[in-house]
Amino acid sequence: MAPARPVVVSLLRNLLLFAGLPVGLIAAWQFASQRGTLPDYLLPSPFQVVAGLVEITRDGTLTTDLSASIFRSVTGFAIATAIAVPIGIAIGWFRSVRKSTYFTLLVLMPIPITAWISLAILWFGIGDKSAIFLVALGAAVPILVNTIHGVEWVDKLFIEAALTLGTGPRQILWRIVLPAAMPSILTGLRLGLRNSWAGLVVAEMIGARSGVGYLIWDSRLMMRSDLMIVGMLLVGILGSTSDQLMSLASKLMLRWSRTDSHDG
Amino acid sequence: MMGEPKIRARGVAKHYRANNLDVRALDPLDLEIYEGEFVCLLGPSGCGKSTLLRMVAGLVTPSAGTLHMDGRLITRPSPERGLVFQEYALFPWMTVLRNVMYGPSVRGLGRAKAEQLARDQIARVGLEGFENHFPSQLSGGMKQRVGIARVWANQPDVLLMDEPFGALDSITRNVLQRDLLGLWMQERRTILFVTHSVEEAIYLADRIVVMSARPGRITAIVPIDAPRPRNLLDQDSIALRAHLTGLVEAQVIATSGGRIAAKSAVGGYVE
Ligand SMILES: Nc1ncnc2c1ncn2[C@@H]1O[C@H](COP(=O)(O)OP(=O)(O)OP(=O)(O)O)[C@@H](O)[C@H]1O
Ligand SMILES: [Mg+2]
Repeated sequence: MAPARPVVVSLLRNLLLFAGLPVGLIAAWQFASQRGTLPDYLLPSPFQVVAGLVEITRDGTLTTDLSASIFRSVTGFAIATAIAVPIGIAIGWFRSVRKSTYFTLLVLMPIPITAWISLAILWFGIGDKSAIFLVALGAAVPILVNTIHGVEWVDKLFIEAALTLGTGPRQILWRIVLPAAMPSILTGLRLGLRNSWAGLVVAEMIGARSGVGYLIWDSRLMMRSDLMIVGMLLVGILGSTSDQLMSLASKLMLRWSRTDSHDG
Repeated sequence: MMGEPKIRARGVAKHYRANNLDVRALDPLDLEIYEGEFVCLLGPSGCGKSTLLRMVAGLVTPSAGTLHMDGRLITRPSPERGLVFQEYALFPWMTVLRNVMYGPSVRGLGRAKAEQLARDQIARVGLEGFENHFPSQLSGGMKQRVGIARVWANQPDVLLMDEPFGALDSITRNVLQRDLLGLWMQERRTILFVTHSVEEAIYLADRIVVMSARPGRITAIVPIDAPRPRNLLDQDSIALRAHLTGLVEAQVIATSGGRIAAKSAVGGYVE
């Protein structure tokens, strides 16, 4: 029984499983493009897409668009967190706040971010502010919902234990409720982050002159379908990178929890 | 035991309102518990044992009557009356050390003092080496040891324990009973201990307070003078067990009226 061999075998197996589909898809895509089954104007070949990426990397468009998008995303998300977490805590903890915000949130929360774009442009014009507004809005809703839920459903037992151990009623919120609700809040942050990319792309398509969303939109008008694909893939990469970072951050913060996957 | 009782309940009753129905959980009862006494509350499920304990803790307000500790009215929770939960209720986001330090630090004893107290208590319950574990990494028995250490670190005058070993397997349960008794013999704090195990009550208590089925009343108070540690298999214990089992099961039969309950009573112990 040489233990080395099964390790190598399982590594190869995993490589095949993980890389098989993407490599196969790209190969099939390239093949279809070369044969002419897939005309250029519908979907450019992988080589054209790479060429497009090289082109915008050289002329600096890529850096401009990426940095614009990342700046808007980070700013918007930070604003959403700073506003939605405290409000969510207040709504979840104080019954009167919950009642007084009930109908407002009931009507406002189901409005998709895309429906806010006109108002955003009206208020903030074309540019960063509109995009940041929509990112923040997109992130805020899941953060709010999950924070409220987390605070509302904190196990009463923790509160009773804390009270009998000498915690004053005013300290309960910070010492017990907040850490107990943390898994739910972090889930909200992660869902909010995912949601915020839709806000960013829409805002940049209509309400900005830079960013990956603008790249996707503009390349259609310019008939550059290769750059359109580049833009879409960039959004995918930005989204999954930020999601991984967020997941890492929650794992670090929730080391105490045996099951630290609270995501969907 | 004479003099002023540590805890005095006078006409304490509780009814809950749930779904527009009045639930009489506890009928008016009087009870005195003296300094350093180990009292077990024994009664069938739903008879209001937890309710009574929570009222003593100050978490629940009585619907009638008064509760005093050292002659002062109990109106709210206080670290003088520590509560140990059947569900442990450890803070899962804190390590064992942090959990046990929690009481002393929240009372403002200062970090170093709190940590010293906590480490002492962790050692007393035999959990040295587990200071940096999280509750999710512990077994049930270890969790309850932390629960006991956490309350004891506050040096409460009265320990309230609500079926603390109810969720444990019988071997772990026996070990924890023995260890709790050991802790109590070192430092005689007043303990009010809820259980529905007759054996547990006989093994631990100075006095057993037997309660009726809901609405709870006190049906008997049985003092036990036998020296500790007690052997549950000796003649006196067996007789006591039969007596108490009869008292408790009479309550179950009285309310259920069902044949199943009656049968189990008859099959059990005969006085
Ligand atoms: N918050 C509450 N609201 C409504 N009814 C309650 C509440 N708490 C307890 N009760 C009712 O009061 C009665 C006594 O409950 P309690 O928990 O004190 O019983 P117990 O003796 O501790 O039972 P067990 O041995 O099962 O723990 C039960 O019928 C229960 O349903
Ligand atoms: Mg109970």
